[in-house]
Amino acid sequence: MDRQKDVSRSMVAEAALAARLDPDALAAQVDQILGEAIDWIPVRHHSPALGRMVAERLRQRRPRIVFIECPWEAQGMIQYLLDPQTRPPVAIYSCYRQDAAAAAHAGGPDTPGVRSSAWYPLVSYSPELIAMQAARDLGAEVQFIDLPHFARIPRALADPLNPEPVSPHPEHEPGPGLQEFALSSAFYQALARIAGHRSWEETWDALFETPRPARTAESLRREVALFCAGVRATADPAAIAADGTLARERFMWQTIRQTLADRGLDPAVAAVVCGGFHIFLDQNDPEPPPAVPPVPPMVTIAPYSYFRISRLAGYGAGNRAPRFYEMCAHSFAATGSHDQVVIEFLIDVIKEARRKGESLSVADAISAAQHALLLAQLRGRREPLLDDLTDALVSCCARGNPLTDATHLLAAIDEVKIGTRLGRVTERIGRLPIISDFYDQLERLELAAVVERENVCDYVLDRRKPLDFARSAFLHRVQFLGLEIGTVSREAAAFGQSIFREHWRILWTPRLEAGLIEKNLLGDTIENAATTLLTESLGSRGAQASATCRTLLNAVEMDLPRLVVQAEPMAAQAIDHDDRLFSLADALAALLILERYAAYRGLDRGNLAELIGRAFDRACLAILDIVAAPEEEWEQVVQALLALAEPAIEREDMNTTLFATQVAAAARVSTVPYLRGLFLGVLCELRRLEVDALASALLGYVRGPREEQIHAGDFLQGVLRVSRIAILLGAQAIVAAVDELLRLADEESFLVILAKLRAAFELLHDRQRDRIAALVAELHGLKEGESLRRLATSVGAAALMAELDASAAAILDQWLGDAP
Amino acid sequence: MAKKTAKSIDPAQAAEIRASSQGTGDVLRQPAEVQYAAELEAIRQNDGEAAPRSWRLSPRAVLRYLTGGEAVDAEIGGKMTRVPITRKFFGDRALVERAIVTLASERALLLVGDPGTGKSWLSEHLAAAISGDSTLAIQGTAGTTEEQIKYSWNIARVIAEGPNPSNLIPAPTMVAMKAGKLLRFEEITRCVPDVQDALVSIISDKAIAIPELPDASTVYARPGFNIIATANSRDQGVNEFSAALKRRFNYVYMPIVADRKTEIEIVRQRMADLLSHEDIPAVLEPGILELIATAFRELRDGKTGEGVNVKPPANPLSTAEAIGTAVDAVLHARYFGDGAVTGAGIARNLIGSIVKDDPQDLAALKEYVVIVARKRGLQDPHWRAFHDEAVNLLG
Repeated sequence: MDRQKDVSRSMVAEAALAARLDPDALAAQVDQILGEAIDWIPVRHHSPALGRMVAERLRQRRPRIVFIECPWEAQGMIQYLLDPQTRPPVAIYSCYRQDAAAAAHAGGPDTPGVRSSAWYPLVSYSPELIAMQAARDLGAEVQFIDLPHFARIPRALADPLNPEPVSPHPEHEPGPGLQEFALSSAFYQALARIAGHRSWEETWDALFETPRPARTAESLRREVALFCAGVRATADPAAIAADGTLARERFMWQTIRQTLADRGLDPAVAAVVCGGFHIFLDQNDPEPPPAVPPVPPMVTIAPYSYFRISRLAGYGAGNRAPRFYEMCAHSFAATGSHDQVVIEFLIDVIKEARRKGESLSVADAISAAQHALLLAQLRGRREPLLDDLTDALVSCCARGNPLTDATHLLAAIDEVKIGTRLGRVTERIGRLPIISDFYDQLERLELAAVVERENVCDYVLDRRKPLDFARSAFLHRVQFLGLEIGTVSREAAAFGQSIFREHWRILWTPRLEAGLIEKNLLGDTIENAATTLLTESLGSRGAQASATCRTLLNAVEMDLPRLVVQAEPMAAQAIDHDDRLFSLADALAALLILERYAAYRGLDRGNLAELIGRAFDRACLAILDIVAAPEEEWEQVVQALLALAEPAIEREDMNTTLFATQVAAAARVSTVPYLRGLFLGVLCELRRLEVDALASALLGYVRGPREEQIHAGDFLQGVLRVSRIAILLGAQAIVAAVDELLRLADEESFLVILAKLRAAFELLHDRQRDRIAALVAELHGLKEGESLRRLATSVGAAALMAELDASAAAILDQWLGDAP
Repeated sequence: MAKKTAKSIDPAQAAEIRASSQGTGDVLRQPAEVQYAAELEAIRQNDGEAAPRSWRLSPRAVLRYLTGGEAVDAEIGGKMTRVPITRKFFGDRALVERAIVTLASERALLLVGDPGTGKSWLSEHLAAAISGDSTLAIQGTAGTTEEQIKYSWNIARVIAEGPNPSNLIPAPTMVAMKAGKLLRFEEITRCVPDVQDALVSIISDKAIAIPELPDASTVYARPGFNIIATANSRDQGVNEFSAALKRRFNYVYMPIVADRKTEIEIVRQRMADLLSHEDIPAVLEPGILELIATAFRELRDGKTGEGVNVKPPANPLSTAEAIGTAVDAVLHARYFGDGAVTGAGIARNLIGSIVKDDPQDLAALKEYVVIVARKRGLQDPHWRAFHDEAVNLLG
């Protein structure tokens, strides 16, 4: 007796009863569907077990046509998917774009433009891909039947009177999969509870992925169908209607019927490979499916990666462990079981964890293997699942809290189970326009070397040279689009960073091309796509002065001067409506860079000067809002004050008096010693406060009560963070104040103050520290540098010796004074 | 020299110990295998699966005992009875599965986590279910010696008779090895490393050498022997395991209870258990129980349910502290009040749980009372009473 089968069967029956289903009625429903002339083959995306089942079933039945749940608009891609040069993982990418003008023409003046795209990943063991391969081997025709994603954007195009267009599904998944339906179904929830499963993946693997000797393709087909029937019977009908499932099923069924009619084929020669949920579609649904818009989409096949597929886990198109399931598929092909996988997986993880620094050995692998087998037994499984293997690894190899003490191990598990495989697509397939533009630009700008090798290429660009300027603009556009092309750093200049010289480290990888494909949604060329994205960014920033002005800067870097002009009114609006100091100060910094650039390019700076003045004034007015800023914001306060102080000092057209007045007011009201130090330090830099007054403020803390003394260090830290004048001109007074502080502080206070003083003095340069040290020496009677020598004893002993020295000197002076 | 005889135990004392171990005596706390004897027997009668050698129950039956939540029919005391199996462990079931499976393997089990997360509790119940005996335990301290782990001698008899097996006083480890039972080693990291390492050969070789006895020089463990150790991750003075010892343990980390609902259930159940010793009904209004669980959770996490950040105290605020507060509040109300536990009563008992030796904890609690409790008190009378009393006590 196959105990595992009985355990599963009894659990499924028990779950059906718990969900108030009649198991016999369910079975009858399944028998009816599976007994139809059309051969329904229920699958789940990326399931190795169902991939095998599909292959065997098609070989047995030898249909003449195979309908597959893949995007209908990608019918032309089948030949490329089956091309010997194409190697999974790959994805069908379908992208639909209708700009505002075309939309208005189609649906009326207020109809917005639409964009929609979808990815359909496929791996080597995906049932859909296996179905295509089996059909090819049998000489059978293949027809894709899934409703195009852009047919679901729908109703604004089909019905201009409908004010609420249905938004497209997320980019990564054209519609809910079995997992989404199951999670909300009472049947699955009951089953998971009864079986003690912690996740959907565990349930699926336990029921269907684990090989069983007595199981045939037909018995698996029935089990999957029964499971899906239970899920469907307890899924929320309203949710199914609302999420587009019914529309998709109507389209699928219409496509099947129409194709059979057009070809004059009997249903008995047809097989349908689709999600198990859909085999129960309503074949008598009177409502027609959505119309497919006449504007053709762009469809292509793109390389995909196991990593990207794992990130989709949780959605129907995802797979939590692509490499692990590939290992399962290979193990089954070799031995008819997953025995090999257990040992190989554990050894791979331990090797990877060891490489990352975990101290693990073969003994741990042995223990983990034993543990996994025992866990599987305890959990009623024939073989360990991925969940059992993971639990075993954590038990045997993690020495503590896995989340904090076994990060390398967990990372190794993820890497091994996900894998790094990257797919390849045949060269026969044409490129999308944006990809062609990308490679053309690389040629034109003499950057083609970056794609000749997968190594970092270094380019130092001087934007004053035409070729480098064009390269810089191109690279900034690519980077702005969110594509991983490399990093850029700017050389330091006299004031801040250079606006001309950039150091680019460029690395081309196949992932970049996959990313480019998605950007085709924004435009056919890199420039168009960047312009679209920039325009949308500007529109979405609202009252964010910093973000809007930084976007302006992006426009300059990308050489999109038209957008700068367009964006200036938006920047003005944002500045006027933003009342946050940090945002306004950052906006000011961005505008100042823009101004320098505009000066170089000879562009009109009139509007910019106006914006700069406005940002400056508004930022000054916002200073009082941060007088009690929490510690985590202090560095931002520093940056904001410095961003304001620099133009206040260097430019004549800034309202320096306003700045000084606001800073002085902030210093008066702030009760945070560090911030008071910052404010007074800034006033010192502006020459609006004498250094002696600064030192007096410090003495105020020094001579205050004990709880005030310990704040002296914070205050000094604030001063030294922003003020160099204080050191240049006022070091003596500051040293005297600190000296007094150290004399007055008791031991406990000293320990607290010490850390803060140390932090304060670490802000100084070496020369400044030398100056302070010289002043300290002078204060304590060590006038010349030669008076200093390296201590050969302890500090305490040296202090005692100095005291004795001073006493002896005083006595000698007295003697000599008294001598006749 | 005349032989000295060991002092025999007073027969009355022996009877009391026997009675108490059979659950008929009046003791403060019975071992789990006595307290839950009916459940264990019921599960044993319904256990149709194979058990590892010397185990009383199969692994799946042990799991049933720990996770509970069902009732089984069994013959108890000569009568067929429906025996409810109470839930002993609240938390991730996979954690218990890993612990059970470890005990069936050649590695020992180390339950590690913050104080008050149920490590000793789980250890006791595992031993009760698997070996039928949770009393073979060693409490680790800085003063624990190797003799207390392995064996020692009746010195007087050794002097009189020389070393022989009857003079040997086996430590719980040796008893467990001979009987094929589980040894419980509590707070193992409090022992000094040299003493910890005495376990290395015990776990690897499953044997203890007795060099003093040349003829009977090694005690070998019978099947069923294994070790469940516990260790606090936050404890002061913990001694890290040597690499050799680490490799011989499987670690199962026990986190603080993740969700509020479970924590409330734990507090309710454990409180009822503890108060049943005093024959006091554990009646707490749901609102009061929620207040306790919520206050502990929010202070522990440093964030309220509304997303307000609060300073967490330095003390670990585990579920054990919450249980203690609840029990104290009920006792206080019973003996010094009118029997009803109020928010004010919780405030009185909660302060002692949270504020121990760090004055910053007082500041953290004050902040919580002022910022969080006051606002909730505007709408909830329990929180109002809690806030008012806490303010009164904290100043």
